[in-house]
Amino acid sequence: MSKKNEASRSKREKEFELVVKVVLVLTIIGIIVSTVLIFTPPIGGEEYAELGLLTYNSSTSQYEADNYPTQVVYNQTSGVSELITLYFLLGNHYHRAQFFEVRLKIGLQNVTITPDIPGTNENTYFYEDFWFKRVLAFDEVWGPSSETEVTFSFNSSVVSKLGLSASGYKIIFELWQWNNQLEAFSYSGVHIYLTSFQLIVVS
Amino acid sequence: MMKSPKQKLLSKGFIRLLASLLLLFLFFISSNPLILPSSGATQQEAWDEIIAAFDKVQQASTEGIDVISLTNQLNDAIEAYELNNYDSAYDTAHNVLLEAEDLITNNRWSRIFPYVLIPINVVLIAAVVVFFGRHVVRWFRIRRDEEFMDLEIVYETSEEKKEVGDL
Repeated sequence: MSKKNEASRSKREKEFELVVKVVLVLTIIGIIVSTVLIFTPPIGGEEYAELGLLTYNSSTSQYEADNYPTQVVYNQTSGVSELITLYFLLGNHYHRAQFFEVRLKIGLQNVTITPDIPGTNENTYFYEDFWFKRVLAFDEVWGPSSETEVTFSFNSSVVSKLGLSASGYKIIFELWQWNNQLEAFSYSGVHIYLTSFQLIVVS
Repeated sequence: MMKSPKQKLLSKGFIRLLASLLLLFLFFISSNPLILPSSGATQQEAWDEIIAAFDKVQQASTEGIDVISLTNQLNDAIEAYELNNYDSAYDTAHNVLLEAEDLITNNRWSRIFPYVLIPINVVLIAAVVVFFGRHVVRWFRIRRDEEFMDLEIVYETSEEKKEVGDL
């Protein structure tokens, strides 16, 4: 009987060794995987910036993507129009901080703005008083708020640059990003505009 | 009461020590931009400092550091720059630059720290194995043998009872 016992004991010992080996291997694999995960920066996920244009509804006290102004009265004698108020929101969804500039430009209705082609100084009026610079951290959103309020008018400079147009104007917001290589802002391709904006000219 | 030459020497030494400390303090103040803000920064200098600070903030954010407070400060610097307040813009941006550098350095240390711990842990475990391993193994063997012996006794007793029963 003791021989039987010995056989059972050696069998048990072998099983024990096997279990210990499996546990050891799993532990080592776990340590390696967790170490790699700890020291690898997070990857994946889409990177983009968002730019939105909103208006403020005073009756509901909310910002909304609705009720955009479509026309404004321009006094030819004084050379100013009524004020136009818009709000933008800017979001950084890149996995690092970004330096943005939102640029307001006004162009004629037929001006072409695409993700590759921004408005140029030749075909648009650069409303530089309403260019907003902002550094945003990852997943930070700026606005809509009083800080991102844009209240401007069509003044004589705009009209003299673009001329009076029956087909209307485009009010363009472009998003530019700081480019470390160029050491300048470069067009991100993100843009938004109000189209067919009419000037009602009075004297 | 007249001072002895030794006392005089001591008081002179004390004055010298005070003077050295004062000089050291002045040197520290003059070399630390956080205490004495720079003045007379030009527009270009302020802009360059903002860009340099942004570069560091971006680097910090790439390493996964939370930079919200730094971006807020940097936006204050940009606002000051746009209001033609170049001194304030320069100083704020410079502070952001220094803070971002500190954060990056601390973050690197905290990333390296586990690597420093690894050899310490290995040495610790090796020491435990070398000094106590044999005792543990011996204790385990004795305990296991005792268990087997108990099993054998129980088995043999039951076998004997069975044989007596058969007879």
